[in-house]
Amino acid sequence: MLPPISLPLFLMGAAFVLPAISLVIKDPRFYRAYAVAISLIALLMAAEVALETYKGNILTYWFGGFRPPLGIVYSVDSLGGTLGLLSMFILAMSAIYSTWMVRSRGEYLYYTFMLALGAGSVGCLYTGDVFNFFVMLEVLSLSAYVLVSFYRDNPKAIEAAIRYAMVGMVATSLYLLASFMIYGSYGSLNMADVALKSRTTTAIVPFSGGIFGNIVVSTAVAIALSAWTFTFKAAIFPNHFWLPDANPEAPTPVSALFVAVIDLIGAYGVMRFLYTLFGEGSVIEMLRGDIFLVLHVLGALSALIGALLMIVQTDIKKFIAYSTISQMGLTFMAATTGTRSGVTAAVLQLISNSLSEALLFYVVGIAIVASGRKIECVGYLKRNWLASIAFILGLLNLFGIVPVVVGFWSKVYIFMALIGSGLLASAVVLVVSTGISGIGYVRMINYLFKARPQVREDSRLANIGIPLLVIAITTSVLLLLGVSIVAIPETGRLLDHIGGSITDYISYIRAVLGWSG
Amino acid sequence: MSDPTSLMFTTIFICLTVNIGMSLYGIFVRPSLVKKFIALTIFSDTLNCFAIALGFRRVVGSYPSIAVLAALPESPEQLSQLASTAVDPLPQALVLTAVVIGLAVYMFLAGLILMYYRYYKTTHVEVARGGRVG
Repeated sequence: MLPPISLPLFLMGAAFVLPAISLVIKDPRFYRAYAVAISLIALLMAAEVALETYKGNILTYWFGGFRPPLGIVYSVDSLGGTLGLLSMFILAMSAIYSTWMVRSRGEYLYYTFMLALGAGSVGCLYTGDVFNFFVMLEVLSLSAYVLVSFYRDNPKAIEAAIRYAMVGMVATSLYLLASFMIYGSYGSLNMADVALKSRTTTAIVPFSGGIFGNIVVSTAVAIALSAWTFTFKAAIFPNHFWLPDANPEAPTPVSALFVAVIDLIGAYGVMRFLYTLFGEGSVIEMLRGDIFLVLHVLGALSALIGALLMIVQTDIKKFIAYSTISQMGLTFMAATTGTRSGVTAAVLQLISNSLSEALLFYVVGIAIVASGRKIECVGYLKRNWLASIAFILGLLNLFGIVPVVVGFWSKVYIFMALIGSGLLASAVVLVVSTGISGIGYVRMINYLFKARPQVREDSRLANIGIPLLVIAITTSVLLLLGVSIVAIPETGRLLDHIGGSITDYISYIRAVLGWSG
Repeated sequence: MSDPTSLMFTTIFICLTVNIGMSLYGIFVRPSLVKKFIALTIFSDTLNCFAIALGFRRVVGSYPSIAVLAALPESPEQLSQLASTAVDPLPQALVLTAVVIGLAVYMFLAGLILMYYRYYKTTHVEVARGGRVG
């Protein structure tokens, strides 16, 4: 069995070996093959880790052999395993897609930062340490800033990267402050240790001791600060502004990565902090309802605002970015119900959203090469039946009215979770925001059939086999997931198991701190 | 407030809070990118100072005046004296990590600002946006 550390370490190592290799090998074809090979191996490793967690195990790895809470620990439960598999899948698809799309002198740097982005993302998902989460968050963020400014001949890309990096640095620094506060009050940075002490305040753990001072106040402040970071990463109102700003300036394969690799971390962080670390039975139990309410309202607002702003966009990449904001808002609404079914719905929504936003970027990338970023460019796609079908399926998946794709089921799960928690107003928000965004999605399908864009000459358009392969794989995964939810009852049970892994804090603490009883 | 140590700490924390407010003002309100950049470094240095203050250990009685662990091999008494009087080293390790990561981001941001200057001949965001490009 593979220790969970090997995946982030492998990606990080592979990423930073590439600039050294580029001194010897100057052929861009080598860089492309290298990135594709590394990301496919990473996908296999993530699949092995995920399959291991589905057996009900929580994988742990101690850095340097120090027992937790003494050293850094990596601990993967089925939520982390699933999201890691999802982000590695999109990374592999984007790496394959980049071999067709990206033509630049600094191609080795592009692949270096792309692999580092994947390492940061999977490190965030696998780590069991509050401070190591910050380190991985910074690896992720710095790679994202670099990739946004990759087309540096474009002053708009430079401006977007500066704005993103400035505000992003403030956001991650606030998480750093939160982790200092957690260390100051719990005497430990280990997530399981903090989770234990936030429930049993009298607990004395070897090496990290007991708690210090008034932990209710410091925990509340730490959650408030880290919620700022998580809403920023997940592009939730009012911290959503960077996504439609930075995402369109990045190369298209990287835009496809944004949802599955960066926005995902924000939603994951909220779930990890508010369910495992400071969840049920913890010292902030009485404040937890209020924290959930605030995040729930923010999620509802961003679902509505994202849907409203989406339908007026004239730039196709901004259109998809606002669609992401709307869908992430729905994820937050589900994740903040405080129930197991809510978390299950949020995970399914994350999977569906990541896959279909990535699919849309892959399809639209062909049209952007052909006729620029104006929204009419999608008219180019009707020349190819596969791209047209994938485009329509991706849009319908986000709209969520066709039962064969996974997007329908994620909306159903969210609806049931909201009704189950008695949040009728939120269920209405879900229906209304789906309706508003539906206008935008249907309008886009209309453009596909009606628009006649001007097509420019580009040598890449002669052979679009690689993007079509990526589109075909992503579409079939979307369809397979949707069908398996209907046809195979095990899928529903597995989803429930994933939702349960985050609410079942007792097994998490036992697995990491190594208790037998 | 008669205790000088708590008075000192109250002063330090008030100063750090004011510093955070000032640097956030600089990042979000000042129009010059260079000033935003400087405010950003002040912001994260303030947070690092906060972490260092967190590692403070109050020692009852007088602080050791001679260096501990000066002789090798160390005796168990010296080790227990060190463990009971030394500051918490972990926040310093965390700050070290955060500073190194910060350096990478600042180098990158400085490069971006230089490129911005080459395009617009100014680092003033409103002048660049107003079309007065040199």
